[in-house]
This record gives sequence, C-alpha cells and structure tokens, in this order.
Amino acid sequence: MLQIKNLHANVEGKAILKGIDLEIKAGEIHAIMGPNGSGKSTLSQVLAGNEAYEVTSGEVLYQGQNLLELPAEERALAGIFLAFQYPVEIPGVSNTYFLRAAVNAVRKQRGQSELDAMDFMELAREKMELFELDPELMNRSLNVGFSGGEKKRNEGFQLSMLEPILAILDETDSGLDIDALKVVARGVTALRSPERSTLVITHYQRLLDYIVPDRVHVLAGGRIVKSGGKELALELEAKGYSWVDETDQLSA
Amino acid sequence: MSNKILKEDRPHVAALGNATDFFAAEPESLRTLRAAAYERFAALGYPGREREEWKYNVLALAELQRMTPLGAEAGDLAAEAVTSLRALAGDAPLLVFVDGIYRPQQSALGELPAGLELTPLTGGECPAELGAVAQTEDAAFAALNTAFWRDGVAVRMAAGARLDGPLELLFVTTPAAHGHMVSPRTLIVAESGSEVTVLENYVSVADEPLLTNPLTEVICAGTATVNHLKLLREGDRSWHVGSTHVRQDAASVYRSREFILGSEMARRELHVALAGAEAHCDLGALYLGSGSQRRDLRTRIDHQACDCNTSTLYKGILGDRSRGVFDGQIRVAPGASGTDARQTNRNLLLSDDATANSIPRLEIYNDQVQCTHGSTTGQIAEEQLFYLRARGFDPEAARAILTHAFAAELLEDLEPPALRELLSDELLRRLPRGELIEALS
Repeated sequence: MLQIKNLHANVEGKAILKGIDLEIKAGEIHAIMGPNGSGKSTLSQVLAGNEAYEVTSGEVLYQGQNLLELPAEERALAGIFLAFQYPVEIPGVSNTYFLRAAVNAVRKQRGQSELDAMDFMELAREKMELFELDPELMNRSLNVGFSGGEKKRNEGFQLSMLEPILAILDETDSGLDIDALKVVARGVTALRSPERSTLVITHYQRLLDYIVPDRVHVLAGGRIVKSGGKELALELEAKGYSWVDETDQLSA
Repeated sequence: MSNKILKEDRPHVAALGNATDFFAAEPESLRTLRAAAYERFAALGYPGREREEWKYNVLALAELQRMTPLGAEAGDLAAEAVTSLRALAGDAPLLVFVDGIYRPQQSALGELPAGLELTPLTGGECPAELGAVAQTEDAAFAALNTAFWRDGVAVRMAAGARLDGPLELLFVTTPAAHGHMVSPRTLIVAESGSEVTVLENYVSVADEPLLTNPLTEVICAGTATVNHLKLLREGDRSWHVGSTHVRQDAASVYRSREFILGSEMARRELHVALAGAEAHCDLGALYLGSGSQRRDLRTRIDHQACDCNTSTLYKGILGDRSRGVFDGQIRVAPGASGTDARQTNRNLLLSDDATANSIPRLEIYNDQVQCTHGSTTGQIAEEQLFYLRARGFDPEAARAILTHAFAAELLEDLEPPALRELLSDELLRRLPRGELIEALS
C-alpha cells in the first residue's frame, strides 16, 4: 500500500528527513515515535503533499503509483487523509458545507453517488456521536471557537466521514486529556479494516494503549533508527528517547 | 447667490454655469443654505492630490470640471425595469429616483405604516433639520450636494413608532446623466424611541461616465434606532462620492452596513457625532475592487458624550490593480469618559498588484476610555489553503471558498434575509471563480 524509499526532505533549505525507509501493508497500523524535531510532522506533511516541504531525493509509492508527483488535493481524492496536528480555523466556511463538499468529491472519485443534504446530515450525526461531538458544531465555521479537544475530535470525525485508504494521524494525542484521547482512539479503531492502513505519529506511548499498532518505528535525526512490535513503544516509554540516541550512535 | 463668484475666473465654478438658476424660486431659508454651500465650494474648489484626504485616490480635475449638475434633463425609466433593479421585492416601501429626480409613478409606497412620514425635498419648504448635521465646512462634495441637490426625501419616524422591514430608496442613473453630476439628498429623522431601517440602493441602467454625489443626514433622537444599509452597484465607468452625516442623541443606536461593489471610483465618508450619553454605533463595510477600481472609505467618529460605544469593521477584497483605502478617525472629547471605541480594518489582496492603505487616526483627550484599532492586510493564508487541499479541494476552488469566507462575516447578521441572499449572489458573480462555489453547494 505505501512504500517509502530513502526519502529526503528539506524545510526552508534545511534537511529534516535524511533517508526514511518504511513499508505499510493494507490493513496495518504503524506508529512512528520520536523526540521533538526528529522529523515526525515533516514526514506527515510530505506525505499529504504540502508544497512548503521540498523532497530532495527518494521515492514514495502509494498503491503502486508515484505519490510525490500528485498535488495535495489529488492525494486526498486518492484516499490519503491527514489528521492535522494543528487543525486550521477557517472563519466563514461552515463545517457542514465544507465536509459535505469534501465527502461528495471523494465519493465521486470512487464512483459512488453523491449524498444529498438529508443523507449527509444523518451520516454526520451518527459519526459525530462516535466522536462525542455536539451536532451544533456542524453549523459553526470550520474549527472556529472549537476547544483544542473539539478540533482534534473533529479531525477524527472527518476521517470517519471520508473513509480514507491511508489515514495519517499527526500527534492527534497532543493537547488531549485522557478521556478525549480514548474517544478519538475508539473512533479510529472502529474504522480499522483489512483495506485501511493507518500511520500514527506520536511523541508519547499512551495513545498506543488505545490504538494498538502492528509495528512501531522510532524516528531520530530524520531517519528511522529502530523498528519493532508494539512492545517497542513500552520500552521507549520506560527508557526514554536518550536510549534511542545512544543506540543510534552505536549502530552508526 | 453672489454674482461676484460666478463672474470670477474659476474653472470649477464656471463649469457649473447657470445651474444655479433654479435657486431663485426657492424659499429664503433654503436659498441661504444653498448660497453658503455654493460659496464654500467656490472657495474650496475640487480637491486634488495636495489635499491629505485625497492623496491616494483623486478624481481627474479636467473631467470633474466638465460635469454639470443634472436637473430637468433627467432620464426616464420603464416601470418594469424597476423590478430588476430594486433590492427588496414585495411589500417593502420603495421610492425611485431617476438621475436624482423622484419618480412617483415608478415608486411603490402602498399604505404607509403608522408613524412613517415621507416628505419630498423638491426645493419647497424643507424640514428644519435639513443641513443641520451635514459637514460642509471642509468638504467640497458635501458643499456641492447642498448647493445642487434637485430632489430627495425626508424620512421621519414618529416618536415610539417602529417600521417593520426596510424602506428602500432606489437611485438609478441612466444614459441621460452621461457627463453629469447627480446629487440626491436624503434626511432621516428618527424621533425618540422609534426604529427605522433605510436601504440606499445605487444602480445604473447603462455604463456611463458620471458622478453620483449623494448626501444623507441622519438624526437619531434619544433611544431611537436607525439601521442604515447602503448598496453601491453603479456602472464601471461611474464615479461615486457620497457621504453620510449622523447625529446620535442619548441611548440611541445607529447601525450602518455599506457594500461597495460598483463604480470605477467609489468614495464613502461616514461622519458620526455621538452627542448624547450611552449611544451605540456599529459600522460595517465590505468593499470589492477589481481591474483598476478605487475604493476610499472614511469614517469620522466623534465621541462627544459619556459612555458611548462604537465598533467599526471594514473589510476590503482587492484584486488586479485595484486600490482600497480605509481611513478611520476616532475622536474622544475631554468630557467623553467611559468611551469604548473599537476599530478594525482587514484587507484581502487577491493579486500582487492590488494595494490597500489603512490609516487609523485616534485623537483621545480623555483617560477614562477604551480605544482599540487593528488592521491586517494580506493574501490568502497558505495554511488555510493547504488544509482545504488536503481535504480534496483544488487550489482554485479553495481560493474561491476562502475569498467568500472572508466576505461572509459582514453578511452573517445582515437583515432582511432577502438582502443577504442578494449580496451572496452578487459576491458569487463578482468574486473570482464564484461558479466553483456554486458547483459545490
């Protein structure tokens, strides 16, 4: 489903990713952990197609096609969804209008019929319940006046509405209290299917108690320095990131 | 009228020619008012770039001097044309002015609601309030309007009366006004405790070079509420230089919304004097510019009394090579303790060649006040654009959505809903790629 080969990327001329190799198969959940500044968010932005990030070498194959040559919107229509670390506020654009247009664009791409206003609202209400969001938020401007937790849950809600093939969760746990974290994790886990892959990017292990990964990778200095099963997350939590830095230096 | 001035060799006066002839038959009080304004204009002349208030967007002097006041030669308008030009359909009382002249046949007043009184301003006896609020001292165009208005209306709301829904004043210019100056005059008097909504709707039936120079005076007596809506959609070759002059007494409310969509050059001045305590004033405007259009929006808020609050939100969307100027003055007099004045100007630039100037002027002579001003000018935010693209919107559609969203703030609380819908449609038509938005909704 997703193959990343020797990916290098710059931000404002500075090398951040320095040779990422990663393969995610259909139905798998992978977690990427790493200290601040290791390149976690850069990886998610590069995969989503943010042009502020410059890929200098390497290759990314998504369902066999060269992902890097697609603009962001085509990646979204092809089934890639990024849950933003910092969801953007857009005054004047209603949540309903925005999401219905987004959902119908994806459905059209997949050869499905568009949802009319009634069917959309019915589906939205059902999914909002899953993420414990007040249906009233649908009438508001996108993310405007939402609490930090509501913004993150809204990302999860969008994910569930758009039914992506590859979901990337960029530090969805940051700024969430434990109850909200459980809500989001439960919602994301409910979406698990043999066709859907998930990349969970996080600084802390606790999210992985609720979204249980098949593989855990440790990112440091722009490269994956260690990979393992879900137990790696616990080991990392116990020993701290300095342990990885030392291992990295030993293996280098 | 002083012949001395007429005989003098002043091009701006000479061009007005015999346009003053019609003064002669008017009542003494009006002649005095006009003569003073005329002399004021003669002394001031048309403003040029040397005037600080005109340095960004000046009107070509040579063309101005050719524009003569239009009166009896006003054009005609088919009754059915009114239907498509008026902003509010249905039962809303409508007064139609064609090239500045009142047309009763095209107007639809029906049975006037209790407490609403409309008096034509045709140069006969005028209400005593006329000219009481207008600032003509340092304002050539306001002086010109006072000297040359041929027609207009005085709207009076009796004490305690309330008008449900707006009164629409439709100002239409026709090809007959080609090369002329049209100067409609309006007076709105809301007596104590009354409430009235007035919409000034400026349109053209053809795209002619002409100058519309309207002047509106508003008097809000104690606890009265005036909602004042202004919609400018004149032709692309026209100039519009209009001003509103407001006096607010104690605990009155004045709300203004201006939508500047048409004209090559549109300049609006809004003067508000808060003369009584605890008055509330809320000013909003949206101005669109494209091509080489120029927009010039000026607010002059004078806090003279205690515990008044004012809020100003002016937003510009400027594309191509257009220029938008916002100049907002807030003056707080020494006695105006407890003043709360907030001013915000935001500009969205759709091209690298568009320009926005934002000039706040705060003159505060009292320590017991809250005054804030904020101004932002920029292009569409990249992070918003990327967020939408990451949800599958192509960049063109995302830009269109974000541009409309910027404008939407001034439509949100707009009443009546029919006007909100009309503006929403106008924005879809006038802003880039509006058809993409329509396709999505």
